[in-house]
Amino acid sequence: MRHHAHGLGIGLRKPFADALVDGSRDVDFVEIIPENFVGRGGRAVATLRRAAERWPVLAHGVSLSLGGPDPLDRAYLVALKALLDLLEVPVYTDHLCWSSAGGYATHDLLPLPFSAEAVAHTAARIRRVADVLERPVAVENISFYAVMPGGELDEPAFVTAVCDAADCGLLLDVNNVHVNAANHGRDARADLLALPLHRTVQLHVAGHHRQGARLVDSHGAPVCDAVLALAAEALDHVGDVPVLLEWDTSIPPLDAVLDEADRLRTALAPHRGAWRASA
Amino acid sequence: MTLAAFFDAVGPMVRGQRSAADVEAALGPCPTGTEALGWYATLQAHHVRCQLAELFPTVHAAVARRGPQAWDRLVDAYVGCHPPSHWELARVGEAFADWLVAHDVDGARLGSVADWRWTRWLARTARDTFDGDGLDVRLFVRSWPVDAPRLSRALRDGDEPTAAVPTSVLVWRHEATGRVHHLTPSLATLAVLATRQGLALRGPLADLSADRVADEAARLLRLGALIPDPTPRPPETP
Repeated sequence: MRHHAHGLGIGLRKPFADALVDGSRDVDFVEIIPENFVGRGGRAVATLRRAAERWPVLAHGVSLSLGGPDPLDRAYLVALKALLDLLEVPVYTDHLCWSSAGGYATHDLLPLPFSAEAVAHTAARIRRVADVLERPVAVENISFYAVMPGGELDEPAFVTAVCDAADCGLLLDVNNVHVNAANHGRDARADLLALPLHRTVQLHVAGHHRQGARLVDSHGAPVCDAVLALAAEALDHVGDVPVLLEWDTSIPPLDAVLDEADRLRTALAPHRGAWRASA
Repeated sequence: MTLAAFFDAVGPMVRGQRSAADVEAALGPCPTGTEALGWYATLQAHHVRCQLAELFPTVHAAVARRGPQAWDRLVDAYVGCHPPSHWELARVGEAFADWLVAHDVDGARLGSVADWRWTRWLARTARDTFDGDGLDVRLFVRSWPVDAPRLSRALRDGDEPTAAVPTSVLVWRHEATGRVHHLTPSLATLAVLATRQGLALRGPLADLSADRVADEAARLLRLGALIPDPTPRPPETP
């Protein structure tokens, strides 16, 4: 039985995966995008196996389209379960969004209308996914650039309603809370506190960039002070959950990613007693 | 508004087939404005163009030299014929090589280069499984009307493309290192592959000496192109 993830982790990304696994610097856990490994072999899978010998592995999917209209891909879920079993991943996480419709896979994380029908539809699918995977599921609050027509709730109420109806966990993406609040003229702290924090199983933090009037959730920069402060406040409420630094675009050399992880670990340590202050 | 109506309207908008204003006319106003709603179509088009450029960098480089919007137009036309439908992101490129051959003015060359890239991707990510036909799922044999590996390097470096020379290659992922390699197969190579599959050697392959074939088999094993056959089969009767 592996130890459960805790502390500060980073994503196992192709540009530095081998260097991370073979290197001397440490992280507390790694997170993978399982779509990059399901049904595959080769060097990336071998690296993942070596990573799993060294650290707990969490899995964060991007393709289930939990709120979408197309049938869930049972064959994929069965293959995904095999990978999660192999890696002893305790909880599966994906996004509270839709990504496929009419057979077209956008590979994007698209917002749903914040409606009661969407709540019921999505919650039922989350329960089905949890049944097939035979483990708890947690959903991430996504970044969204438009509030879709046809909703009657606000986003925190929608997330709460889905999590309650599905009885699932929340992967609290603090950067998304910040980006959404900035883009839609809302109070980030108020939105954070309105989310179902008691269901939080993990935190995500990331960088973003400005494009015109918008903040874009690019995962391509260091974590800004406002997001770090929001993460600290979140930890004060949710306790000892693993925190992942996401860096998926404009990825710098591994040492720079690990320096940022160390900075975050130190900054967040006072907000969770069980944390180590350094790796 | 039902959820079904939402997907019926917003799905085509994201794919660039319907305007955001059209969606608002059907579903009601977007609380954050028409431009914000329509931005998802821009994002989607951008993502697919970037993904294909990443999968096929040399094709991208060659097409981009035609003009500032050339790559975008080409990808949009391709996606119109082959919309992404697989949960695996890279599968959007699965039909790209064949589509280029059929639809692009330079399709014979660019399609070959795309197939070369795609074959390398298949070799790199193939399962670690012996497929039972005497070969291995990590091993591919391809033939093109041009020397696709050499042309790919030329396109990458901005060099003059080489003359069209029909070329066959063996592409494989080394079992131990995970690296992808290729070589131009000789007659002896083809004889080894045929023997592995239990096929009778015919024509010039049948004229090769047993020692020559055995030497080539040993070389392919050393290179990692072949792994020891766990289920050798008797040769078929010619």
